[in-house]
Amino acid sequence: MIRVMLGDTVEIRMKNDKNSKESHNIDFHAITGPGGGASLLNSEPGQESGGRFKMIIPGVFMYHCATASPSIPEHVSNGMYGTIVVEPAGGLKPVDREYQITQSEFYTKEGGKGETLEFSYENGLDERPSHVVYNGHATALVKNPLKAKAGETVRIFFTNVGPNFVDSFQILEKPFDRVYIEGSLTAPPAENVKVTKVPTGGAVMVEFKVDKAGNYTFVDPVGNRKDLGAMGLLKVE
Amino acid sequence: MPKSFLHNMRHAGLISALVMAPCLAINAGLVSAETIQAQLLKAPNVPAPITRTQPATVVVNLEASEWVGLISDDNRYEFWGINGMVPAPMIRVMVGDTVEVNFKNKKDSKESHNLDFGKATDGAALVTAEPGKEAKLSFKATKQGLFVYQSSTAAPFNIQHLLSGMYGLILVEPVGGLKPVEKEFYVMQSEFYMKDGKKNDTLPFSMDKVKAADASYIVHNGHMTALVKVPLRSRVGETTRWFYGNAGVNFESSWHVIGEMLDRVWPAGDMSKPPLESIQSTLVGTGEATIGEFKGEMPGTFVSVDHSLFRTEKGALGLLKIDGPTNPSLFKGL
Repeated sequence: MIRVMLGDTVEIRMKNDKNSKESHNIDFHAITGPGGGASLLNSEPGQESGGRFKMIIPGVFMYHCATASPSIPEHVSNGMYGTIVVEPAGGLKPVDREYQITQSEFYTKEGGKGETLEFSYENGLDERPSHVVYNGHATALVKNPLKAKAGETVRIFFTNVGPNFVDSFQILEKPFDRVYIEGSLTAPPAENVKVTKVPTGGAVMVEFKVDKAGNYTFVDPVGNRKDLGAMGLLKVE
Repeated sequence: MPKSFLHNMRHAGLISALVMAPCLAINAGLVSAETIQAQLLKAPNVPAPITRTQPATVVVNLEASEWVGLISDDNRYEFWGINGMVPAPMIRVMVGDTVEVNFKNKKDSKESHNLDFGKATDGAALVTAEPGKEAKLSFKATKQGLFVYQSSTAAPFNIQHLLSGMYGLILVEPVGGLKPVEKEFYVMQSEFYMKDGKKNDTLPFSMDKVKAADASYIVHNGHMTALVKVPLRSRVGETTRWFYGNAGVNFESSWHVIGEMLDRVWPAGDMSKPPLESIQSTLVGTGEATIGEFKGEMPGTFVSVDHSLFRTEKGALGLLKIDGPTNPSLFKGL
């Protein structure tokens, strides 16, 4: 995650490892200009590119690769994404804990245990993911839960990479106190929200106070997504 | 009671009074409402903005027909549409207007066709015509907002009507109209479900694919490359306003313009609430429409997409070409 302030100039240097097979670039949703910077930030294997960009809009934004060869969704499906937060001048109000969660889908061909599964463009087109995960692994936030102490306020920057699904973000044990809908940090937040929908290629900021100790569970409650990995834990002591 | 609530109530009261006074005057026969012919243009064109403050009677002439046309460079499909267009032309009226729809069904149609304007008024507003016949519907545009009008769910319902092109947007503006902007565009995302076939085939509708939510095409303005071959145009410094609809029926759209932020978004086209600001991607539900605006800061080609990116491979994208001087303090290579 990249964190900057409104009015900052961000200088990005984009290297592509010399062992890469593909050319790569980045489209920052926080950048105003062609391709969100992708037109300047394309790098062939072993090469480097760069650009200088002024942040004129606050918010929580996704960034991702948008190289058309072999296809943009293939680059996004395979892991080329992150989050950039452009804070309002003076920064966000302090809270006790901050975390970033990215939900994304992986589209692979079927295979046996222990195998390296190949990307499936067909399953991508059919919107039939093999994995829907938080932070890059089916059990990333189950094996290593987020942590907080009772009485603390937790802020989560939640990004929905897609590449296909509109996500529903929820904690089973309590509503979010504040939800900054679609990642807008200038509009007043919605309050006491049980489930919030996050558009694909979008983000949301949520805040909530955890009063009691115990395990809190994040899920995307839609269909079988939590069985495919869209689940995480917050351990409150 | 909080001050802001009272203020809003007063504000709402004032607006109602502004709307209702002329309506009452017209109903009482004190003023004769002007009769206007609706401007009905092919998307992405938008009818001229409303500047009047008095309600009028707006006459809307719509004709349903069936024709075989290109859905992509590879395939044809039998469209069922309005005035020879998919999506149907955008209709622009003001709250308080009386809308008179003259609905014809072309004589060589095989199907009976209907349109439902119920979202833009109170109560049912359905008009149906058999092939070669004409029907009339009159309704009052009681609610401001941006709505989808479409082939309806009235029995016997066949979703093939809706999925073959029978949908468009109706904008019910507040009294006096929306704040002027330099450019306005009309974009409609819609899904097409067809049996598989070869290049140059006319592909038949597939109900199985509808049920499986397995869209063959997901397009902006009725053709896979409608807005790629003929991009939208604007200039640096101009504000563009987009009336963005989602005909559905299966996929919520995450509307995003690559390289630009939506400065203002009225979710679900609801102009009675303040807009969301500084939005990268906004959710447009099936059967919903959204109003988004942004000022073009940089020249170049900007891609409007459903950010569910695999759908762009099926046509869910369009281009906006912004001309004008570059701004190196904003965007510059190293």
